[in-house]
Amino acid sequence: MTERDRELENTLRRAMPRDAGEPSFALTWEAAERRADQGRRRLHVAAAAAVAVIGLAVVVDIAEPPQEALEYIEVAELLNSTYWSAPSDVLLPTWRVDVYQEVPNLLESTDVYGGALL
Amino acid sequence: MRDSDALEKNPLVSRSALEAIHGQVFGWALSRCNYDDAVAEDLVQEAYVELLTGRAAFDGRSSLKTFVFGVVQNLARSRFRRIATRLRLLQTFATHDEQVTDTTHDVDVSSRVWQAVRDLPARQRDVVELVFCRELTVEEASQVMGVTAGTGRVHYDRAKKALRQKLESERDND
Repeated sequence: MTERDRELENTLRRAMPRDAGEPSFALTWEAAERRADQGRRRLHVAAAAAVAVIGLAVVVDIAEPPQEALEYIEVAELLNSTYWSAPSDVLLPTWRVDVYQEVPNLLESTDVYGGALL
Repeated sequence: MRDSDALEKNPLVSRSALEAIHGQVFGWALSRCNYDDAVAEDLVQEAYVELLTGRAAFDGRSSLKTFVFGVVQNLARSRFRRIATRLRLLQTFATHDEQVTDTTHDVDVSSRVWQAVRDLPARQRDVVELVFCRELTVEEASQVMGVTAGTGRVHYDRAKKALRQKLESERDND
């Protein structure tokens, strides 16, 4: 260190602002310990909340009934197992013959009489 | 060797060792926050919380004082980064009537010499304060500032040069 450095150092040390009285170490330390405890408590609460959320999710997942596996059905089997009838089908066994086979054939003639079909 | 009052999460740090440097740590915290006592006390408390919880783990590679100074420095940096972000937001959304208070002008500057120190760029000011006021070596000051020893020495030399020039020119003006 040169003479000029030492001179500057002395000037700075003389001019250095004195720290105002620092707060008591014991009080600062106690406050820090309280803050550390609060932080730990907050961490525990957060961890408990996370565990609760995960637990709830697991419970909900268990409570939900498992989805049934898909089953494939043969089309023929399906058709055999179903029967559809129209509401008017009940009339057929009795009246089918009369209605569909004994209807008079009204427009059968193609003979022309006076320019129109007879 | 583990002290009887060593911290549970930081076995190499003891309460009594912290008590021994408490005044200096508080002084360093004061200079980090424009000599606002309340903010400095809060910073020191936060630093102790970091040590108590083990978030700042001392491994004995530097002196405890250097380490705790570094913790305070980092806490102050992150705190003022947050404040700066909020101020920027305020300035963006505030109406023109609102004024953002600048506390730097409130600080009582007692001496011209120290004013010259304060006028230095931040890193140079820090290294001067750490070396001359807090009695650290330039290497320790560099650790606190988070720069290499070489960079710290460059800041230190530039600071001395700038201070010498400023003080000499003021002496000539008188």
